[in-house]
Amino acid sequence: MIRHLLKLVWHRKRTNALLIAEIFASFIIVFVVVTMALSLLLRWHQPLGFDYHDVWTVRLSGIEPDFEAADDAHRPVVEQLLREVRSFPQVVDAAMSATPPYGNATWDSIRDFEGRTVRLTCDSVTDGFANVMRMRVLRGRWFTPADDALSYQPMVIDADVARELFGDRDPIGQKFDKDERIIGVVAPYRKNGEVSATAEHFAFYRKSLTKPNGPVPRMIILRVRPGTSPDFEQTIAQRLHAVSPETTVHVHRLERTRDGFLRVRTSPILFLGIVSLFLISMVALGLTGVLWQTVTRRTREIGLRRAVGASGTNVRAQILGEVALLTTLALLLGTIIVAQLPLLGAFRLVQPAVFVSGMAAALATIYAITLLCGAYPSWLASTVEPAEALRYE
Amino acid sequence: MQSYVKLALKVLGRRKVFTLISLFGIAMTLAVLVVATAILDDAFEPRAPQSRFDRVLAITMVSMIGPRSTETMNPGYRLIHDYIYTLPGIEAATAFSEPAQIGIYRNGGRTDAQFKRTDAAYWRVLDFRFLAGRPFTADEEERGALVAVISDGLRKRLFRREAALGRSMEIDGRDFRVIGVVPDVPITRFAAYSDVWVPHTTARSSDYRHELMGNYNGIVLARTRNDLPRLKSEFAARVKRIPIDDPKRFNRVAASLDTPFESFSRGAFPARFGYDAAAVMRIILTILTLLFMTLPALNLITLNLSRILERASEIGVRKAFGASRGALVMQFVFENVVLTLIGGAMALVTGAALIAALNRVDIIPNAQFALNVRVLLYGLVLAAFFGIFSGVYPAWRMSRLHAVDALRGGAQ
Repeated sequence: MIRHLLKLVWHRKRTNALLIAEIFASFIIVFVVVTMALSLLLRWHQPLGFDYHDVWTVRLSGIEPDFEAADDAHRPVVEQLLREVRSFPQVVDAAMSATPPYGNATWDSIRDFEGRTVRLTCDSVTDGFANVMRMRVLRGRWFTPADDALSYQPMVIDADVARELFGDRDPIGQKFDKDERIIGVVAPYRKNGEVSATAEHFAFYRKSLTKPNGPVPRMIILRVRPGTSPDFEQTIAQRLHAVSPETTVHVHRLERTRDGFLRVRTSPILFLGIVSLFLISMVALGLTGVLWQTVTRRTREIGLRRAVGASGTNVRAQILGEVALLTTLALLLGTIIVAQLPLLGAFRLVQPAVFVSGMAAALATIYAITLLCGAYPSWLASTVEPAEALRYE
Repeated sequence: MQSYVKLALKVLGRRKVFTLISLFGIAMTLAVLVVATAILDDAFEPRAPQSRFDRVLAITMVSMIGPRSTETMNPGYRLIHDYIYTLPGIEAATAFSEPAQIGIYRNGGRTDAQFKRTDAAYWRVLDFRFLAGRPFTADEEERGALVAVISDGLRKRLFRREAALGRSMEIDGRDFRVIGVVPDVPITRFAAYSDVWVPHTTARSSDYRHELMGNYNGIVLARTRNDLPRLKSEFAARVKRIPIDDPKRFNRVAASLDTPFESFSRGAFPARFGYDAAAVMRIILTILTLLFMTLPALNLITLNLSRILERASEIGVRKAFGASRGALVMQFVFENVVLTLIGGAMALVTGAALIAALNRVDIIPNAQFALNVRVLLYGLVLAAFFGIFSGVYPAWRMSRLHAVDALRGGAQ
């Protein structure tokens, strides 16, 4: 049966080659879109490692740091502004952060560790940060004001970094670089929120506002009591302006920043999805057309088969079999090519499980679509009357 | 010619389902391309308030390059002030900050707005149509007067139906007086986009005046388009003379004056200076367009091919009566082109509807995309190209049929 089908397909190889090319291209498109969507869906529901509700940010500008100086000339001002913010009864706690969540600023760092190259995403924060963001410390401890006296630079890493660098060893107290030592491990922290990579490999460095330690961050991040009114944004801004007339203050709510941030990052996938939906539907229509045309043209062949005893179901199975064979050939080609992607480092972008399920979903979708396209033409073929067909044109 | 058109329409009318399937594919493909072109056109063609942008050059990024690291940021005010304002033989030059989102507090509520600091020359480089009031003057810039120009959209959000001129609003903790109202600007026009414009001198601190890198953008308006190359090379020479703040880490400053499209392309690539970014961007856009058109074209080719044999007897007759292969190829390509032109017309209608929808829903702030003659022309060129692209192979296959086979109803 399959050999017979192969012969039939080979017979019209040029038309079929084009059909195969089309199905192949559709497979690649479906694969890319489904994998992207699946990977996003999977990431969306992972814990964030922080709580963004009732968190506000205050950006201080106009008092820019000199990145080269050993001490930040504006450090006392920043320290005073942070103290002012913390003094409000509406504020649960506040801290400084250089690159807070859902922001466009990111600090990527490529480091050598025990002869390996590790990629980290970092942030410089002050002691209150973990409390503001409601982060969970899994091992060791978070920064405290007493750390000012340490002779080394304390560092807190997230669980992903701990596993990557130390495996089963206890990371607490380990040296990272010359003068850096790990003092704590927090739950995986995903700075880009729901759209972050599943393992962002996050590390926190401590910044002190009470001793010289290079430029200090310019973002105040604060947790307010639930239900605090927008008026309070203005109150904060007024108080800070009164303390430091040099400083421009922008207050934003993290929840709203998050909305905008996620919209910007999900809309390309939505757009891609719509475009590919239209491409696929076009291919489906085209395929139906071609199959239909083929059936009409092969009326005599089908009639002959019917005349020598094939049932309508047999004929139907033949047409669908041919479609399935074409699809299989195209998908074989597609699978072979897609399977090469991990060699190019695709697993750094998507997890193997997502990759495989994306492939499976794409395979199933394409089979379903092509067989659906074959449904009407094959039914048409099964209704051919042998007597009529044999004298057709 | 006329008979070709008649013939093509006849053929298309004969198999309505196939024609519809083909048309659907063509129309949707071209509609997407028409919308994409309209968006690009909106961003890079000179349109109010950027009507003079065919003779401007912009600087939107600066790199500090050292042996171990490269830092790239917007230029700071000092760079524009010292090296751009003073370029010889220009009509005007302006500096404006990157738009920032701010909250304007009024009656216990917060209104979000895009905010720009700029100079008085800005209003000469860009041609805003003032709905009310006036721009701020060089004198007001000098004094750091607390005056603001706002967009009509912001006026509606803040003051509803009331007149805005002379009203005050709190920005950055101080009261600014509204002196002008301009129409909303689409986000695609990077130099013009904002809701509030105030003199840069109203900043609380004057630190920004000393920055080589910061959050400003600069634009030069040349007297004529012919001046652009001269200005580019003059600025390139000046960049070499910029003293480096931190010679331990950096040994070179890279910056260039770019046309708006060049500057957009430069921002899109990680390695930023030292090659023709605009050319790379054009190639990428062309390849993407071709890739996008490939699947619909393949679809059309297979549909056409599967119809060859249906038309075998027609081809046989024409061949038997001496039609050359060239004539046949011409005929079939022509049919395809007619089909795609009809599809193109449908695409323009669909595209117009999509653009109207995009303008209405607020996905792209203040979008005012429009189908214009240029987009229409692009659409036609794309349609014709698509028609030929997808018509040649089937036509060649058809023309190769032998007359005798064809008359019998097809060769296998």
